[in-house]
Amino acid sequence: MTSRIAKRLFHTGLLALALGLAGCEVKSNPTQEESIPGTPRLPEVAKMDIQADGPGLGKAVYTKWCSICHSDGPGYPGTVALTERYKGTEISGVLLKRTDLDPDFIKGVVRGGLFNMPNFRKTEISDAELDALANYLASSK
Amino acid sequence: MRIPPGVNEADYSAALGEFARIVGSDWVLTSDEDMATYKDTYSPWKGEEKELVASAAIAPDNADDVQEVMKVAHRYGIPIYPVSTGKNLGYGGAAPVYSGSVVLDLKRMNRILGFDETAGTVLVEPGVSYFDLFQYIQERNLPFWVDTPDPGWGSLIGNALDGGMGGTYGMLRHHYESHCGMEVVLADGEVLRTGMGAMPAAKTWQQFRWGYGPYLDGLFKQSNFGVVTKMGFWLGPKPEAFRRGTVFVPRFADLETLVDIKNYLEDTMATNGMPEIGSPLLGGGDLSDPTSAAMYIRTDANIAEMEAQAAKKGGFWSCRFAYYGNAAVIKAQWEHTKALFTDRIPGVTFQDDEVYDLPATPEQMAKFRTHPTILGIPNLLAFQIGGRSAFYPNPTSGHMWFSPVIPRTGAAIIEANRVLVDAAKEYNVPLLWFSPPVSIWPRGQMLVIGVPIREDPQENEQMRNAFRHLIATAAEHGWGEYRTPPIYQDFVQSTYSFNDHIQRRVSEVLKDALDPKGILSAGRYGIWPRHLRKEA
Ligand SMILES: Cc1cc2nc3c(=O)[nH]c(=O)nc-3n(C[C@H](O)[C@H](O)[C@H](O)COP(=O)(O)OP(=O)(O)OC[C@H]3O[C@@H](n4cnc5c(N)ncnc54)[C@H](O)[C@@H]3O)c2cc1C
Repeated sequence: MTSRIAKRLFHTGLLALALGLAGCEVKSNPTQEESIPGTPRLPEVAKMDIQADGPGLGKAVYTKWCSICHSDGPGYPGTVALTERYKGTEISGVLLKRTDLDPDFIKGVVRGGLFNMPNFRKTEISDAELDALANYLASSK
Repeated sequence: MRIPPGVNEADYSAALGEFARIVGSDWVLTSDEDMATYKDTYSPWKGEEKELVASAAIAPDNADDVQEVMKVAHRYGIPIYPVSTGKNLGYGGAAPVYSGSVVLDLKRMNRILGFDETAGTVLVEPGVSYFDLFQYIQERNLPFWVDTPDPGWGSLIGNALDGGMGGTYGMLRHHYESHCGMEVVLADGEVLRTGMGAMPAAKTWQQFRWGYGPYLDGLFKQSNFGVVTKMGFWLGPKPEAFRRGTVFVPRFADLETLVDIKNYLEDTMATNGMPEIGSPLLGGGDLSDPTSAAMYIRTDANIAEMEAQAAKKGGFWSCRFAYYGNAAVIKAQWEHTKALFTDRIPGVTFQDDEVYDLPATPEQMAKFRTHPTILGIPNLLAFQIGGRSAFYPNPTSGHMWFSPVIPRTGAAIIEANRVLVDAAKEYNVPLLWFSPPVSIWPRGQMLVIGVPIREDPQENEQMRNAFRHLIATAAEHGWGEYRTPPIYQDFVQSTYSFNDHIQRRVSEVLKDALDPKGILSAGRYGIWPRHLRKEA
């Protein structure tokens, strides 16, 4: 399944390109009703003007910055990567379903990046927002 | 604490003190931990000594603060590197080109300053992302859509200044070309408004880009002459309908006519979306398939045999066309497209792809096959490229883009692929085996190839060398890069060498005049201030 999606992505993507695998398939007979697996839904509107220590902050930060890559579904690169990474284990590829996330680990990945995921600076996610995000991800199941 | 090169410690701490007074001490960042976030996560020098780093970052809240910051930087001679959202992944991220510069991080300036609902224009600050603008429009249900590049978190301003592009209407896909009017803080803190903005009472700053007198906006594209604090953009109207159809041609040699007709359709505006050239023979990435179009490029495989194979797969080459507009009009345009091909290419076949009436409901949209960018929906789907998946088990840690502009012909597609595949082979790296061109610009055609970055310095060195070799080989053939990561900016600039590098020499004259102390984005796009120029 994922392999089909990745291949499809390579040619549906605006830049149908390489990384050693240039110019993959141009599918000759897509059926009309077929949808791109996991075409992202419209991004939810996440307002960040919630009080810095307000209860909704962690979720708002998640929605604004993480859901666009880590939502449940095949069109989300973060979820695709983590699903493959944890294949054959109990661990979910979907961030919000993880039960093993430690706040410090989350902060490290957000500030440092991991593989294709770039790092995020304080001007994007402030320290207070990152704390709220880390607690939200570590506790919400 | 790191000190920028060429600055003495006393001046630097005095400047930092003044920066803190202007933007608040929370927004002057200097710790190693913070500076690590201003490296390029996709750096081709990852973890090595040459990796580009910032000495500090300053994050102002508004254009007045930018002006004050530049006055201080100018007084003390502090090298400054402005970024908008700083997400220029594949082309340098937020890291300064001149290592040790102070990054002016404009992400906090994220206001949509004006939205003209009659004209379909918007005026934004540098920190406004495509996601932000899209949400603004959705919340208000405005009859416009956004031409977005694949990474929705990028900024309208940073993307346009770097020469970036999106995926919808022809006239809007080149983001620099769809901007209208800017406000620029110069190196000494003076503020310039371009176009109609030069007239204080102007009502058409975002409508008539030419203003009066020379067109100055061009000076701020891929340059280092100013800090852009506001920029206007044209938006697309939400179309009534969207349609795509694919053309398949049977013979290898048909590529020539296919590209000719595609060009004609674009030039007459009979198609207004982005045409996508491809080949059913590229298969699912199977490099050993002897009938793959890639094999022809690699080994001179037998064309007759491949054409026989193409007959089974639906065609040798394909081109998918996209149309936006009134349902009846775009239907006629697709019929017109088919008629042109039928007239000129025996054996051509067609496939009606999607037809959507717009605006669609979110439920309908969830079923669309079309890449969201083509429907003006910002997203991050493209980050699956190089990311871990069953198809690609060994993920990269990023990539840099190799993107030479080639002529708009079928022959050029074949020639460029052959030449570049051979060049990559010399470095024994599996960089590309056949790249269909992208025709992002209605008048342009280019190849876009991602070169992977990993955690292993040896492998990265090999990729860096291969990348340089590709640039040099392409330049020998007259195919210039349109945009490039910082480590190659000097080199690519040196390939634009007509008349003893007069392009660079004129840029240097402008640099010296507009930024006499040479503090702004030193080295960006190969333009260095006087004190840092290498003796020729
Ligand atoms: C998977 C993937 C897909 C991609 N797809 C696309 C695509 O479809 N289209 C595309 O165009 N790119 C694409 N890119 C490249 C890049 O990531 C985007 O162009 C991105 O939008 C640029 O980042 P930004 O908008 O944050 O620019 P920034 O990083 O803010 O700006 C880029 C540079 O411009 C200069 N600059 C920025 N703001 C200012 C200012 N206010 N004043 C003066 N100088 C300034 C700076 O030198 C800065 O480094 C892709 C990259 C990846 C990794």
